[in-house]
Order: sequence, then C-alpha cells, then structure tokens
Amino acid sequence: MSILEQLAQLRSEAEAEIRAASADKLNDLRLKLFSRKNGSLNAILRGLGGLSAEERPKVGSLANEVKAHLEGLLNERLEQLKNSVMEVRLQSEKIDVTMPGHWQNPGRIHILNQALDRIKDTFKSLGYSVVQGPEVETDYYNFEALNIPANHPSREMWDSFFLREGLLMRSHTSPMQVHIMEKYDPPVRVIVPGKCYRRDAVDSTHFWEFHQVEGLLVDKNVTFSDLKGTLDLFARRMGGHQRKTRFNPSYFPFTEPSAEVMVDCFVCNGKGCRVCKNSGWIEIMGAGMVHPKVLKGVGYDPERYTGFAFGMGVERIAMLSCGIADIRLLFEGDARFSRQF
Amino acid sequence: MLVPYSWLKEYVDLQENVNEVAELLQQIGIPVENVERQGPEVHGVLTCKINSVEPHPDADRLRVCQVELDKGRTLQIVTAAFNVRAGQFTAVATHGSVLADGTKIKKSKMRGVVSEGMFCGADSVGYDLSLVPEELREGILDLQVQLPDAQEIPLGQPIDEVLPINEDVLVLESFANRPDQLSILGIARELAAKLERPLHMPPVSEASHEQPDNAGSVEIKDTEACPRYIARYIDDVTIAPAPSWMVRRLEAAGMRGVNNVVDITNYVMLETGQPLHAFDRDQVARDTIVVRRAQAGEKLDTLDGEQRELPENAIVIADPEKIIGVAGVMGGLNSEITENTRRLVLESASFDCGSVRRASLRLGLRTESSKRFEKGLNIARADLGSRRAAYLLAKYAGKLVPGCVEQGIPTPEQQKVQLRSAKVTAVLGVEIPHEKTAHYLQLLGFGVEDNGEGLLTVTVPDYRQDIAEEVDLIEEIARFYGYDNLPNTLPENGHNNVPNSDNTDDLMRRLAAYLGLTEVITPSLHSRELGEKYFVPGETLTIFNPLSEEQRCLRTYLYPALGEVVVRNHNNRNEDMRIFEISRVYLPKEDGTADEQRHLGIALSYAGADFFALKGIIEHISAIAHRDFSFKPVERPFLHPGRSADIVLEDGTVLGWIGELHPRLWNSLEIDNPLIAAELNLELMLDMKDSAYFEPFSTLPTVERDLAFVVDEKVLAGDVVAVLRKMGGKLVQSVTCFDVFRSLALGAGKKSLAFRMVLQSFEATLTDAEIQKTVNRCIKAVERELDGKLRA
Repeated sequence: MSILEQLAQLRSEAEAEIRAASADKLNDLRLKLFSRKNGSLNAILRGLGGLSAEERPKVGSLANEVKAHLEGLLNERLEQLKNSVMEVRLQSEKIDVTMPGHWQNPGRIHILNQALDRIKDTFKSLGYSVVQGPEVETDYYNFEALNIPANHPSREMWDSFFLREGLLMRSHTSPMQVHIMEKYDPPVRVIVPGKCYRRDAVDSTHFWEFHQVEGLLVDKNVTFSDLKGTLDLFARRMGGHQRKTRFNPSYFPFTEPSAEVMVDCFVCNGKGCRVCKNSGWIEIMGAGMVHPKVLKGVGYDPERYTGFAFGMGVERIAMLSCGIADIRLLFEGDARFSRQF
Repeated sequence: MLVPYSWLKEYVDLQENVNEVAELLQQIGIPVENVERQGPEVHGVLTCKINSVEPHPDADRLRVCQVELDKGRTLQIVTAAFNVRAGQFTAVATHGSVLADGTKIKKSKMRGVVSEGMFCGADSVGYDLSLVPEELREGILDLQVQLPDAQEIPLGQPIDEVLPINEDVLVLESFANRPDQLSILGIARELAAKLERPLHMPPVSEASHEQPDNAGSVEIKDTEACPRYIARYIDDVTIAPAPSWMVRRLEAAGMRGVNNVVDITNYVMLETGQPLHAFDRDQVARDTIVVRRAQAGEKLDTLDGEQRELPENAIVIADPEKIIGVAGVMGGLNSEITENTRRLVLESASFDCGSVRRASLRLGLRTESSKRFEKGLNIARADLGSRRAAYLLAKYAGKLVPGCVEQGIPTPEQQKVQLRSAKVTAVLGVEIPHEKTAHYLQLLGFGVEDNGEGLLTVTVPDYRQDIAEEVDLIEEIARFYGYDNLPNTLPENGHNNVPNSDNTDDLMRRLAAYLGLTEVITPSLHSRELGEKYFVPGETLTIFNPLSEEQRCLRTYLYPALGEVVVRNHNNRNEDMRIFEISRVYLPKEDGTADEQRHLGIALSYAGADFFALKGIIEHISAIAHRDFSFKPVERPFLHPGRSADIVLEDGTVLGWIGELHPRLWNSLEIDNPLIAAELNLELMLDMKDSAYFEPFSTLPTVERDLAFVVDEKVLAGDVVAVLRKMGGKLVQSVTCFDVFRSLALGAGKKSLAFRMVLQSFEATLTDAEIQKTVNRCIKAVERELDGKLRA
C-alpha cells in the first residue's frame, strides 16, 4: 500500500473512530493518531524517506491536510460531547418554578402608623416639626390652660381617666399646644401625634385609647383663611388632588372661631353612600384659631400673634381610607388583620 | 335635641324642605345628626274638592264624583262612602299612590265606571282616628271638619302636609356654650337670621310684675345660688290632658304627655329653653317658697319615685317645713301636680350653673332641666318662660292670678363688646365691609353702635351668654359670612422655632419590620388580673375612675399585652407569631406621676422558636444601631431563670432584657409553641443614629486560629470570649464561639467550647512567631482565669 493509500485509509478509519468516541476516549484517540512517538500519522510519515523528491511535498501536504482535518473533527466531537453532557445536566437539573419560594412572612408596620407616616410626611413638607408629649397630664394642661375651667359643662366633651385629683390620662393632644408655646417663642409650627384616652364605652367606633395628631401654627399675620388653605391642601395631599373640603362652624373652648372640617366622601366621591351616611361628606377633624386666652396664658401677645390649631383622629382616617368597620381590630393584633396592610 | 319641623315653622316662615333646612343649619354651625321621619309614609294622597256627586248608573250604593285638584286637574272617583257630598274637601289617593299600610292604589273600573283613585278615610292615611268625630270615623275625611280654623284648604297638596300625619324631626347636637340652642325658638332665631326672615315670637301673658293680693311668699337665702325667682299663681285649675297638638309635639320631641300643667311646663321649656316647674300650691307649707342650700343628710323623694340623699350645698326649693324640689334638676313627690291639684305655683328661676351641674352629677340625675341650667341661663330669661307658660296655663288649665312674686338681684346690664374691623380682617384673612358686619350682628339680635374709625360697640342679647370678647363676635361674623365663602390661603413661609423630637421609634419600627416582625398596637391600660397572670413585678400607677377593671393599671411592661396577642392568635390558629410593639410604659415616680418611657417589645412564638432566634434579632438591632450589646444572665420572675438575660450597653447600663417566658407562666397561657420575649428601653438608644463614625481598617491579611477549651459547665462562652479579646489586644478582629461539646470523656460537669479568633495587624503582616505568642498568651489566660484546658 502506498503512503497515499495509507493516509487515505487512516483518514477514513480515524473519522469513524472519532465519530464513535466517547468523551473519555477522545484524548486517547488524539494521542493514538498524533503522538510523536507512536502516533499512527507519524508511523505513516516515517515512510516518507522512501519517496522521490517530487512525491514528498505532495504527500507532506496531504498528511498536513489529513492532520488538520482530523484535529478539526476531534475538536468538533469534543464540543459535541460537552454540549450533550451539558444538555443532560440541564435536563436533570430542571425544577418546577411554580413550586413555592422559601419565604418568611415579611414584617409589617401597623396600619395606624402607616397612616400617621403619611400625615407626618405631609406636614413635614410644609415646614412643621414633629414632637411628642406626655400622656399622663395635669388638669392644668389638659383643661385649665385650654380655657376649660373646672365645672365647665364643656368638660363633658372629654370624659377622662384620672390617676388622682388633678392628674389624668390626656384626653386629647391639645395640651401640647400649651407645652410647646410655653417652651418656644413664636413662630411655631408643629404637629404632635400621640395616644389619648377617654372613658368611652367600647363599640365599633370607640375604644378607650386612640391616636390623635394635633397641629399648631402661630406667627404674625396668620388667618382663618390660612387654616382653611392648609387643611384643604392636607386633604388633597392625603386623598388625591380632586378632594374638596368644607368647613362648618363648631365649638372648642380653646379655639375661636372653631370649625369642623369635612372632606368629600372618598368612597362615593360625594354622591352619597353608607360610609358618609348619604351626606357626601365625611368629618375628618376639628380646627380653629387659637383662642386669645390660650395665647395670653402662655405669654404670647394676641395682638401681635395669631395662630391656628387642629386635631384629627388617626384611627378614623385609617379606618375610613382602608374600609375597616370595627376599631377593635386595630388593637387586637390578629394576624388575619395585620397581614393585610 | 329633637326639633319637630312643623314646630320650627311656627316661628320662622320656611318654604324650604326639611333637608334644605338641615343644610342651612350645618352652615351656621348647628350640627344635624340626622333627619328622622316619625309616623307613617303616605305617597300620592292629595287634598281635593268634590264638585259633583251623581248616582252610579248600575249600582245603588255607589256614587260617581267629579273632583277638583290644583291647576285645573280633575278626576272622576267612584265611591261608596256614606258621608260624601258636593263641596266637600277631602283626600284622594290618586293612581299609583301608597297608603299608610302600604296598599297601592290604581285606576280601576267599578261596575263599568272608571274611578281614577279612591277617597281616603283617616285610617288609610294614618291620621289619628281619635281626632275624627265619632260619627265620621267610618267615612272619608272631611277636611273642613278636621281643620276648622283653616281659612283656605289648598288643593292638590300631599295630605301629610295638611294634616298632622307624620313629622320630620331634626336631630340636632348642641354645643356646651350654646344653651340657647337647646330651644326651638333659639334654633328658629338662628335660621331666621340666616334667611333674613322675621322671627315670630309666640304669644305671652301680659300680666304685670305687681305682687298680687293673695300671693304667697318667696325667700331666697342665697342669691348667688339663685339670682332670680319668679312665682306666678294659677287658681281654679282643672287637671286634664293637654291639647292634642301639644302632646303630639312633645312626643315628636321625645317627651311624654302627662297632663295639661306638666305638659305646658315641658312645652315652654322646649320652646324657650327656660326650664319651669309647677308645684301644687296647697302642698307648700305656709304658702312660702324658700330657696336655699341643702344641708348634709337631707333627703327628698323625687318625682321619679326614688328617695335621694341630697348632696350638701345642692340648691333646693323648700317650704318652711320640708324640701319640695332639687333646684333645676327635679321636683319632689310631695308637691307633685295630681288630679286633685286646684292651685299652682309656677316657678321660673335662674340657678347657678355650677351648683346645678354638681348636684346633677352627684345625684346621677340628668334631666332636660339640668341639661339647660348647667350650661348657664341668663337671669333675664326667666321672665319670658314665666309669661309664656302663664299664657298657656290660663288658656288650657285654670285662672291666672294677675301679677307675680319676683325675687333676686337686679338684672345686670347687657354686656358690651368692642369690635375692630381691623381685627376682623386680621383673624379671618378677608376684608368684610363694615356694614355687612353690623348687619350680620343685628340679624342675630345684637345691638350695634358705630363709633366710626372701624370701631363698633356691640351689645350682647341676654340669650347669648357665650359672647364675652371680640373674637367671639368675629366667629359670629364668619358664621354668617359663611366659612365656605372665606378664601383658602396658605401662611407665609416662616421660620420655625421648634426642633423635631427624636425619631428613634420611627427608625426602630422600620428596622423591626425589616427583620420580619409585625407591628401590633395594644392598650396601655390593663387589669390587675393581667398583671398577676403575667407575674409583672413592681407597682403600677392606677386609674381611680375606670369604666371597667380592664382599665385599672398603667402598664410598666409591654410583654403581657404581647403575650395576650399571641394567645388570642393561637386560639384562632395563627401559630406563627413574630410581633413587636413600640409604645410607652409608665413607671411610677415617687411623687405619684409617671416616668414615661418608650419601649420596644418583641415576642416570638412558633414551632422551634428559641432564645437564640430572638437574640439574633437583638444582635441585628445592635449592629444597625452601632452599639455593642452584651448579654448577662439574670433572673426575672416572669422569665425562665436559665434562659434569660439582661441586655447591657458598653457602659453597663441595662438596656432591657430577653428570655423565654417562665414555664409556670407559659403553662398558664395554654399555647403550643414556646414564647420568647424581649424589651428594650428606647430612651437609652436615642443617640444611635449619630454614633457611626468611620474607623480606618487594615488591608493586611487576616489569620484565623481555632481554639477549644474544656471548662466547667458554669463558665459561659461570653466569659471566654472576654478573656480572649482582652489578651489578644489590638490584634483581635473578632472572636466567635462556634461549637459546644459535652461527653463522658470530658468528665461530669465539663464541656468543651470552641472559638475562632481572627487576628490582624495594622502595621505588618503577622509572622508565625507573633501569632503563636498571642495565642499562647490567650491560652494561658483562659487556664489561669477560667480554669480552662486547651483541648489537644
């Protein structure tokens, strides 16, 4: 068999072998073909010496071609084998992505504090500071300094828990108006969130503890129209740009004029529904101009300074905006309730 | 207060319907809780006139009538009524109408003749049958009989607007400063002012103030308690039911008809706001009324049949022998109006509001009368009530003795308040013309004197005791200008002198939620039982007037309420509870006041929950807060003594505690999973957000060395860590205990603790020799200080 024939035979035999080789055999096959010492190709080429000068280059170039061809096949085969191994692996590693994730219940902030956060953010953006005050309060701050003298019938608006004569659980956040003004000179603008207490029989809208946010702004040239504008802006920031407010005259001993602030019902948009008792309006807070007696009491000159104050119930706002019908749910910590917010 | 709409209409001309009036009242600050319809609903039954009555062609008992409504409308009605006649005014149920019992009426044929409806008798429209003459009760309504005083009966009107069939009642709230709004006249006055219509005052007796010849006497012992007392006398009294229109109104206003005398006093109270009382004059000893303060231990059987011990200093009405009434609250049984009463003393008086309020509170007796007196009624108002009642009593009960006995102090001059236009503008933010200001005030009955230069002198009417200063008048002006007509403006941006309070609780709240805890809010007040159940140590502050025992104590810990949340949820099969609360506790101070501290309370309760699950959370908090918490074993009565610790700050301050609930406490909760709790005092972490300060770190390689020691059981991992840290000095980056091991081979009461030390230098890469030196020093120290042997 001539060298050329041998090369052709090697080529065809090797092609078949490569095609059939498994991954672990592939390297052996490479050595068997191309090893310098005992590779099949070199074994054939050792016969080059017996060829003429014309034949040698022909055979040489054919041998190179065969080598390159077979190496190409080897690499191809290797790649093919790697791919099929990957394919098998991918198949075997396939998961059911619809199975549940590993998940721990996320923590949640109480809906009251979520509502409070929104209230605080709104007033902070208007330049108000957020402050806190004592819950155990004296009669003086809770009543007297707010123009609610002893034995005044308006005290009934705040049926309070007493620790002893003159010391009580604050029945509103308004005492902080006095604390703030005693401590700081005008101008002041603050909101005071906090827990308050009243001797209310428990039902779906009353609990003996509840949260209020008090607001107070005192400066030169503050008017009742400013109060209206501020609370109207608040209502729109909280409830959307389309909200409308309405102010009805009301009575609080520590504000004059006093107002009750209504917002158009955000459930029915003012058309009338169960939530707004068909009136189209929902009461959201009380407000008014700080009474001159209160200003005088803290040493502010009511001829130089005027101001407004307002107070809202956080439970009411959270309940209305989330459709919670029973206030008791807020204080029970029932997981079926908490996990919804 | 219940205001029957038809009653209100007597004092002010109203074309508006009741809902429009309700809206107007809201605008001027009289809160309307509700508008109620009392009595039956009738729709489509109209007043009509019968023009002709012809026989029915095919039925002897039926008649065919041509009927006139308004605007030329006519109907043909076939009827069997016996009392039908031409020219009669009656009520017709038209096609589609609904009767009081819900029956619907349709057009029909009766024996071949079309009937476009049906005539109505009293019962079919729900009209009170007792008001119909007996012989007509089976027939159809005869409006000329029912409305004898009517000049003209309008045709085509809904029958319930012509006859008192039902009543719309305004349910109003009233403010503590407005006793005048506890009267129908008071509401009418405001409404008349709002609508700029006249107020029609009801007729009153013109009897003089002269003392009559046969008068009794009145002695006021204390004019501060009773500044005014007017007694009028009525003779030849016949006790009978009050006129039905009066009873109907009283019932619509929520009161009960009793007899003519009592009903008149009640009627006038609701009408004018002045409470009145009538005594049986023959039961008043020596015909002498004495107004005085009660002495300790005095008793009275009040009209409600209760014997009551009167609070000392309560104002009482007495005669020289006995007490006959608690002034402004309730009369006594001993002088009650009975069917035998022949002579009356009518009391209209002014009593000190504070005294009435205290007496009413102490007696636990709030009456329509006390509700009005306690808000403060002007002494000048007693006269109107007295004259109005005298008028009605003379008309419906007996013979009025001319004149009266009037005692007390002179009526003080009407109050005058100065009002500056400039101040109106300054408070309201809008310029309201001078004339308008004066106009509003005059509409409300204020006297106005213009002093020029923007200054008004305003005289306050006697029914407006709430007006004391300029700003009160400004509110009146705003009310009638209309709050909604004022512009919405914003205050000028200004400086603010108040800094923010710290927001540690907000930061903590977010962190706790981020760590997988769910926030709860629980009551700050709790029962003594809850404290005992949860082994709460120490004293609490207490409430002396709780509504129920669950509001007795101010909490000093959060964990009992968190425990209750876990228990409640367990009972609802929510058994994976990881909750927190940020709230105050109230620690008693020596002076009896509270030291209020914000606490973070955490409770974990789920299958497999243990101390270290919660400790991990606390350590996480410490990392975020840049504080180094250490855990010192400590015993607290409510915690498992072997599974609890104090959480201690770098300087030794105890920040809080952590632990598994004491098994005895846990058993009593009857829950399935362990309950681990912790509380941190947030007041001690106020500076957490400021305490991060950059420290340069070493870039040189770190070296790890693991060391295991055999120690006594009582030696804590933390003790060893402390020694290793101390001896490792600056080179120690961290020391962690990563294994505990016990075996017989180690010996009884021994354990092996394994630690990983990470060493690193700031100066140069550590050499083996340096490392070995440090490690040896550590090993020796553990041996020396803790008797720990290095395990080979």
